Amino acid sequence: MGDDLSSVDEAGLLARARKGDTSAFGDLITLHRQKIYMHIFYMVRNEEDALDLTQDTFIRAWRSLARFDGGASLSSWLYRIASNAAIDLCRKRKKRPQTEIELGPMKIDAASRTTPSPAEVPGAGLDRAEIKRRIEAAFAQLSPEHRAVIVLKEMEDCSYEEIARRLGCSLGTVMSRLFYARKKLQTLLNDLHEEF
Amino acid sequence: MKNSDPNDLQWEKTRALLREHLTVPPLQHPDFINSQVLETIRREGKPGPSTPLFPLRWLAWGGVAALGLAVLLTAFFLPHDLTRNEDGFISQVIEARVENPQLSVTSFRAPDDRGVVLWVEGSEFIPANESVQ
Repeated sequence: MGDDLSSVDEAGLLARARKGDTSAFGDLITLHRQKIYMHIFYMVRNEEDALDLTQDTFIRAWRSLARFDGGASLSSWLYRIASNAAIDLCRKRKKRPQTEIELGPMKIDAASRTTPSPAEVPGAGLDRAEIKRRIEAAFAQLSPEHRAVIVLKEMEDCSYEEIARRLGCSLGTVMSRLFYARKKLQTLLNDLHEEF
Repeated sequence: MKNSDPNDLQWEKTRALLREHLTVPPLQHPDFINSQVLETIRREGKPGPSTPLFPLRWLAWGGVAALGLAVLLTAFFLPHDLTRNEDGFISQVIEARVENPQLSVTSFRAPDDRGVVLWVEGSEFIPANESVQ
């Protein structure tokens, strides 16, 4: 199955898929699999899990295609399923922490408008692999919901409205989560700025 | 417009770090996803995304239709006398009897007179000391 489906009528494929046409549904998978996989990978940071969850997303979508009313775009709906699946996995993982480096507990004052100071400044001379490891570790410390907004806003350049649609929450919730997620990341990675 | 807020500038640096280092490896075998998903769908043998047997919308319309039918049936089968006699009296004789064995009494409805007639036989008149209950 090729990827050249850019000119395909998605609405037509969707209508056929809703009637039970698995071939049309296969074309819809082809249209969306890359972006869904990327979104999930950003969240879970693991190739195998990302592949599994991508498949799971499309299987869930098929099962509930009858309930998709077409009010939102198919893409937004798929993203919502994918985000929920990724958030569920991250929550399960949280029970068994995987972070390699311990950055210490931090509390962020909700009323604070300045970036908290880092607990300590690590030594100079961090190489690229070490920086990547630090960033991955910092990202892993975010809650699944905070990860989702960071991925959608900062990595995928979505608007606030689109994020709200994709996560199924209000605009205020999106902004609030983004504020705290940014603040926490800045705190965790503040020392890296001083390196570069 | 240039952004001069130190916090925003700081975040821009963090954002650049995230975008540079939080990378996603390319999807190696994209068709594998299609084949796995389609195989699962076919193996489940479900009707797939067909419409559920009784969707909620159908149930709601069924309720409305049943209510309408009940109103219609009530309008057709309710005794019309109830509405016609709004300004008069409705009388009904449950039981008509006399203690005098020489007398007999019969009751029957008289729709034209909107009441019940008591037909007494065996006496020219009803004695004054007889009570009508």
